[in-house]
Amino acid sequence: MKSQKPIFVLLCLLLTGCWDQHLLKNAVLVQILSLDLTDNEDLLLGVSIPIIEEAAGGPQALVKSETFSAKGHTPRDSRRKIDREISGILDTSKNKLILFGEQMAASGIYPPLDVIWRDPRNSLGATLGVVEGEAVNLLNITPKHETNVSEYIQDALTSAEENSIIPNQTIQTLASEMLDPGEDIVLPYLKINNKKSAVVVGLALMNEKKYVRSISPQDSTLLLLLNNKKGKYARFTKQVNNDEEQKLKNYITFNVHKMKRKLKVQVKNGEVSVNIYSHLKINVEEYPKGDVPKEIDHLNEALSKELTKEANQVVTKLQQSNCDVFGIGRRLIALHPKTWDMLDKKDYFKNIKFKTNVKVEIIKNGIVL
Amino acid sequence: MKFINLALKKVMKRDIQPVSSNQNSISFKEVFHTIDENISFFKQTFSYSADLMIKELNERNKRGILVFLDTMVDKDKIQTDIVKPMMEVEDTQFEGVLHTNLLKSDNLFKAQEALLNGSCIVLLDGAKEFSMVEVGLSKERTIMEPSNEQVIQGSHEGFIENLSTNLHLIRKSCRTVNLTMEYLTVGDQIQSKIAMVYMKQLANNEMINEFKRRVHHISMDYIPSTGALQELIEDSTWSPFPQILSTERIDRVVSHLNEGRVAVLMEGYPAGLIIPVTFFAFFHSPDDYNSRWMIGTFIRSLRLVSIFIAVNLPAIYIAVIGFHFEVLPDDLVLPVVSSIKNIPFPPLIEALVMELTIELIREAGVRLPSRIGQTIGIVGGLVIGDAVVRAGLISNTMIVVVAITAIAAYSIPTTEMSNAVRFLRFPHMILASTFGFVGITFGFMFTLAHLCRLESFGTAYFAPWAPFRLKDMKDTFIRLPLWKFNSRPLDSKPNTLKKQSLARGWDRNETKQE
Amino acid sequence: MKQNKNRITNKQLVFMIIQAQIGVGILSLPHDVALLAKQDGWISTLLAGIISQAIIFAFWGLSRRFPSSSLYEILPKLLGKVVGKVLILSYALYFMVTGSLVLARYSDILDKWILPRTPNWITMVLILITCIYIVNAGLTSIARFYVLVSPILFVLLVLIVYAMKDANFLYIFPVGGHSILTILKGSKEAAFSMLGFELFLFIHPYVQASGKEKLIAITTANIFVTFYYTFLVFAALVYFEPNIDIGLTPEPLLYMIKAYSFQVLERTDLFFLSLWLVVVATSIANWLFLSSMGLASLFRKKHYAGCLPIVAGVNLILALLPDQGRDFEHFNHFLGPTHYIFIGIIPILLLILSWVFSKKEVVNNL
Repeated sequence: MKSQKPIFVLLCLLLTGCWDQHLLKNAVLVQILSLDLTDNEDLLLGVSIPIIEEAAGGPQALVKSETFSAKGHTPRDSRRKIDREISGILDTSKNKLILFGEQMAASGIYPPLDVIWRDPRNSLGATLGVVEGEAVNLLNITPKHETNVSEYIQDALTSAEENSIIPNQTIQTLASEMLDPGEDIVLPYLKINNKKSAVVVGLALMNEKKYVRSISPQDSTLLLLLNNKKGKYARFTKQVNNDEEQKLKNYITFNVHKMKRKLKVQVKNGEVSVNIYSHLKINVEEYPKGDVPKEIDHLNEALSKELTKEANQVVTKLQQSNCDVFGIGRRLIALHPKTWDMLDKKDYFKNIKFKTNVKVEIIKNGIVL
Repeated sequence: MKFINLALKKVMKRDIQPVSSNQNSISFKEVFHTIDENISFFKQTFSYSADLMIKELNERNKRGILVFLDTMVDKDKIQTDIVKPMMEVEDTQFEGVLHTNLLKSDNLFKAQEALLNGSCIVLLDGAKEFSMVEVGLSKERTIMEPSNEQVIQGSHEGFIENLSTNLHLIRKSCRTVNLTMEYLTVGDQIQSKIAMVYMKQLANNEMINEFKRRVHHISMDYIPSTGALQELIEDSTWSPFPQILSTERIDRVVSHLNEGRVAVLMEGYPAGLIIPVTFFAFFHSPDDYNSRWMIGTFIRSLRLVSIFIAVNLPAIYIAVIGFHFEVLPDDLVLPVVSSIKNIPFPPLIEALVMELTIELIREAGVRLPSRIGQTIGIVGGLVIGDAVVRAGLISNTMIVVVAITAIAAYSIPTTEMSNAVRFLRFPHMILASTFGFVGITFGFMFTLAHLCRLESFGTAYFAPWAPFRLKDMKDTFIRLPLWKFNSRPLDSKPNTLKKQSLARGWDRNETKQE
Repeated sequence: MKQNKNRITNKQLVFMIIQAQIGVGILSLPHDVALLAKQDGWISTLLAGIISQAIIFAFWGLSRRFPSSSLYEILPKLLGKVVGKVLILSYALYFMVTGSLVLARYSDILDKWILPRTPNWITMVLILITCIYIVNAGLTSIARFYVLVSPILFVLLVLIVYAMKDANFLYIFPVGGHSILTILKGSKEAAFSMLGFELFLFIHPYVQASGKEKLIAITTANIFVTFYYTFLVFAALVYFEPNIDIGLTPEPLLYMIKAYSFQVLERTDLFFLSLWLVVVATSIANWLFLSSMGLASLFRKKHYAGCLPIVAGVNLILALLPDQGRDFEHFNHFLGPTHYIFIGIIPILLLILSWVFSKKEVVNNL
């Protein structure tokens, strides 16, 4: 019948056309992306894909990793070349880790990341990292206790986050900070150890999306505390005495339990000065000398002095690298817009006068004195 | 939509010529003068059927006949009620003797009807009138619980095939003067007796009149069952959702009567139809009221979730693995990938094959004798499921999805709604395999729009969700304690809304005394 | 039973207006407003709500003078048959064009975010079929459906509130740093996304409530929508850097939702967009309804359902016209002044005319 023709046509279209199908069984998932700069300024893209082996005994299948890499002008260009080597379609929607080699990071991380934001299927919960040397080498490590490289690195980063060595951020939370003229970002810095493990050695300081230098783990923790971004734990081991025979007894290990930070920006005649005051309430975890309450005042004073000195060193390093991680520039734009207009947008951070003060207070010391 | 409607109208016009019905036109036929003429009349009308018995009585030169249908009467009753008294009496009129169940008439067509209903006709030669005596045979099933509407706690009585017994069961549970019954007949060639039961002070008059109007306009040879009656009077036959509740349980019928609804029963079928009814009435079970209210609420909310699962779960699964697998959390992706890695079929085909297999198993299970049924259940469930996975034809996760869907669909208390829900699954699956999540949203919108416009005898089908009435929500997917049920729900438009006020009066009185 | 087919209650009116107003505009509103007014975009949105409220008062005044006629009946009464008919036709065309613009924009968003390779016309056809099915059944069913799908609006609120944990409130300062003129320019964009309350002019005869109650109803709806939009614009402004970043993201709200994942659900924007389809469909259904009512009153048809396929067909053709982003801008430019005329100028003109000529409907206490 005539009136049934349109229904037939529609049905045929519905049943045959599944234009947007991305079948899971045909997709090859990318777990880590690595970006490196080659000698002639081209891009070296590395991908790590999981290999699932059938579960012989037990419900969970064993997952291993395999690495592929290719050179190209842009990330997508290189990806097409890798696609030709792989059976199946490369799919980055589950990519959780993007690593930059040192050189690549130094020349600017924002442009290669454009494709991540542009494609709707990409995961915006990925973490970024900078690797010493070439990032591709990190994909080839073979740790023994965890067969899948992506799992291994992600877990390492998660535990570093808990220990306040690196901040908790994803590529989306970084986006606005990257584009903000008054703020700079810091990324985790990783090192390869004997081809068997990856070590998170602290933070990489970035100046306007370009990598400058890295800082040590203890400095990283201190920096995060100064920036009011404490993770679950923040542990330090510091020297408080220097006259004990056994060297061990000169040190104290503590965990920051609670902290309060005050940051004040003052503007006088076009000169910007910043006061950072941080009050740390700590939990003594290890004091080989013993008997904390007897020396509590001495310890508080010594630790405050030590941490203040180190904080000043950290701030100096920041200023030398021109990395405005505190977002002072953003505060100026928001609260002192006229002053901001007068300042040099690129180097304003170097000319700011910082005064840092850290006060330490011991509140707990475990179940013995 | 418009084109479909036009096409259908053309088709249906051919069938709308009215059939002459002799429903209300029991014409008059006079009794013949001679007995022989009457005898030949009866024999002819009943097409010389072998079970038409005509026994002659001879009483003081007056000829008389007893006419009855052998298969409809209880011969013992004839013996005790008619023949014996007639033998004992001397000269007085027979009518005086026939003191039980006596009806007189002079219309032969009425005699016909009476014979069909199991009466015995006593006709005397030369008399203008005859007597009809009810001596009907009744062989009935025992009253037991209907097999597909079982409850854990509650009454275990159900309707049987005899109309009078059913009405008796209702009356004895509902002893009030308000309970009104009306009898109607439907069917042109073969007449079926229908009884309408309602509470006079509660039920809406418009509703009752509407029902009578619809029944009156039915023109069909023979109404085969209550299912057919349902189809003939419901608002929309195109909808997959049932708009009339058919139940075999007495407590259900009585509780609905008490909310102002009308129950319809038919001779020969153990089901009662309840009108008007809302979508949520299909999800209530007497169990909910007989257990504690918190448990009742929990179980009811579980049923809400189960509708959603039964309709959508296969569709969501197909959409996820076929279109948007990035929705799966990271830890779940790898196990799912490993289970579907080597399956040759696309997800839609997998799902359809498994769903159809389950439907086949269900159909077969209904007809198998109970001893074999158990074995086949085990075979079907475990062996087929396991073997199919090992052969690499269907993935593990698909079997899990299909099994959960099947269980969710069968947790719905009424079979019709369960069927509707199971049927709706398939369009959703097809939409999901073509458009992913967006397709499921289309299906959902369509279903919701359909439910919003559906009406059952003039009342909104999806009440109390649309139109939204907070007061009536206390009995849909939650069950508040009984002492909170102070007013009747509005959807059946009862005449009185207030039902009770202080259900727990003793509680109040105690505190007052202190 | 059938006489009451077109009656709706006051509460249903509130939800109908809310659903008619909230549609596809909110997804790109923060971007459009921030381009003009930067960090003061939220003030623009508030101002837009106030302007809409003023227009609503005018509508209410008109409805008070003609309590049982929809705008399609008022037009011939006040302006004569010929001019009235011309205006009815132009209103119907205006609603068709607006509806098809909404349709085109949403299928464009679907195209970009979820279904890149599915042909646009198929999604449009499906949306139109669903909208026809919703609108077909009469005002009461439409109202029931609109009330039922309103909880979806709260899903968006919850998701955005969750995203606030990464907000930087410094982005909103300095407040009021821009001139009133720029803020008003932003208000223009916001006001266009808040259109939908003109539905009131056409359905007020069917609402079972007194005049005052109707005013409270539409005001409530408008206030809700204004605060809803303002909150969402504010949230987008504190999440994205207002000078560069928000200018790069045409649908900021979707981006905010996309970045978060939950235990059982990863790509939340996908799940959200599929749900939001229902809200957009209610908007499109609204325009379909209004234009078919117009055509029905033009051709003296009893029930507007007959005109629905025609309207849908026209919508489909118009929606297939814009192909890329620039076409949408052209469309918007073209529609801008028509919005002013049809929503603002004509009803106010009618109100003034009815005062001047003292033409009022004799109240029959229906």
